[in-house]
Amino acid sequence: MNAINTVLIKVLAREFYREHAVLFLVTFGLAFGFMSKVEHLAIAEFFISQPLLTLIPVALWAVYTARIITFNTHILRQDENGFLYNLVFITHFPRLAALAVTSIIQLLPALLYGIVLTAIAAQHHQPLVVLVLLVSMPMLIAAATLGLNYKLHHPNRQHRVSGLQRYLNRTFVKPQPLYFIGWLVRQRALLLFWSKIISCLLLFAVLKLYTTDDYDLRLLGLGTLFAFGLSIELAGELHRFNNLHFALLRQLPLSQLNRITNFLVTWLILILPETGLLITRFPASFGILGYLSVYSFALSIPFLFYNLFYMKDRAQEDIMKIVYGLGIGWFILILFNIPLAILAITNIIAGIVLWKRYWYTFEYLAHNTKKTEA
Amino acid sequence: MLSLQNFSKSYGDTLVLSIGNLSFDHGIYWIKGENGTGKTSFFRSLAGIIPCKGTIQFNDGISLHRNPVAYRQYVNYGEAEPLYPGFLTARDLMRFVGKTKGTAVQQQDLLATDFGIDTYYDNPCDTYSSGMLKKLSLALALLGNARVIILDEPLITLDEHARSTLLNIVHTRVREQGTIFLVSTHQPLDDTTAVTQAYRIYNKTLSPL
Repeated sequence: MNAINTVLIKVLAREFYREHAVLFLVTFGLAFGFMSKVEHLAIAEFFISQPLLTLIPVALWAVYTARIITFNTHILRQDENGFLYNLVFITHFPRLAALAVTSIIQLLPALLYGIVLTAIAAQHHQPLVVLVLLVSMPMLIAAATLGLNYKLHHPNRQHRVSGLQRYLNRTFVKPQPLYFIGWLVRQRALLLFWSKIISCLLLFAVLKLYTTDDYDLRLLGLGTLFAFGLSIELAGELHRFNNLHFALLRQLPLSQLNRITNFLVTWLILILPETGLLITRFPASFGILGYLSVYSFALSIPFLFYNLFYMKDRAQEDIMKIVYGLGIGWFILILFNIPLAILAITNIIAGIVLWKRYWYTFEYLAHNTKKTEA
Repeated sequence: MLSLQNFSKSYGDTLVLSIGNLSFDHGIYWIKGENGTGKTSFFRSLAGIIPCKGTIQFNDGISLHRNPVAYRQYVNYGEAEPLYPGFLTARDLMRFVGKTKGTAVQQQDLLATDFGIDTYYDNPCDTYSSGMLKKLSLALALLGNARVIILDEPLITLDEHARSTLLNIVHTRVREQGTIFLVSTHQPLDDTTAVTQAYRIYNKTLSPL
């Protein structure tokens, strides 16, 4: 194997599998842990029974290929991988051959399954299906290879700003609470999407239970704990945004009250979907005080964690220990019928104390900074 | 005047920089030092971005640790390698930082024109080159009536016009407003720039040259 292949495999293929290790683990776990050989064969025979049905796995492989292309693009954009752009100086054939080898390695799970399907289709005398599979697999390789080749030739994509966007930018100056949300939507869209979907589903399910039976506020308290506990990672992202990605904020003469208010406004915007659910489906029997206690408890969870992050730049596993510890503590206190309003007030006071004590003394450790920037 | 007493900056148990007593009166101070000696840590500490120990205060008593908000009003900082959220425009940032520093919109727009930022004022930052970002960071650092303006490697990636604009503004501010400029640069300043004092960070402390 030549040096170019070695570098490409190390930088692109190996990193691809490393980053998607959990996904592969879950997929293989489901495929080989829960499904028998007979079930595998039944699914494969279903896919090859008609050419149209064969397009189902082909479509999935196309999505997988698209993911490979976006992953490779992401890797190429990292400063430390800028040297890969030198590949454009190599003549076409050896370059494309090297890129194809990397693409084949990245596509290996799809290609292996494709070969299995082709063999089964051949056994079942399905020439059209065999043709579809034999055409689609090289196309996947070509798409991944040419996608990577294109990115190597276009390192700095021209950003065009439309006249309308410029007009809007000139007319409306973005308010500070939208800074983080704008960043989140662009940089952590999946995290935002899934945390909102799951927390809304959880809240919806818990609130739905109140329409079928009489429960006290503890059930909703537990539902709130789990639903808004999911937003701790978002609180961590907000913390990193305010102190690392947009560190200029730390230098500005903003009062503590201003910073806390900004946090609250940002957070109220972030939890609008959950707020909507609570407003429209909140059990009327608990009254406005019940609503306020649930809502303030929901707000107090990310507020406390956001400020806990200021105590010290902790490793992920240390943060998880705290999350579990506090989560179990809240869980028990709710079960013992401690009013949610008291938990909320305690969290908010603790958050303010942490804020005042640690805000100015906080700093990210070098290794965590590097990890984020990468 | 900005004075430092028993200043120290450490990362964990590792001491990066320690300064006994030092004061800066109005003028231009050139902070030199090899890569990794702690120039940026020193600047970021003085700017209030990262924590440090010791007393850092103006002669009217406004101190980094006792009056953190008021202190930040008087100290501006331009990063060596500025980075801003990509969707914000130069206008968004100038308005936001300008408001916190109590700067009139006219001054913001004047600085934007001086540095040539006005041509891309309403484009998002992720469309900027490193030179455009640098000009924006310098304009942000010059907003308001700061007593101390810290410029970390202000000349890198700057074109000739922007460099001349910057040095003109620096001279004017020192002469008319008595501003203190703390500057680190590996590139030579031009012949017309009279440096009040040059310092070198060596052996974990700051010594006059």
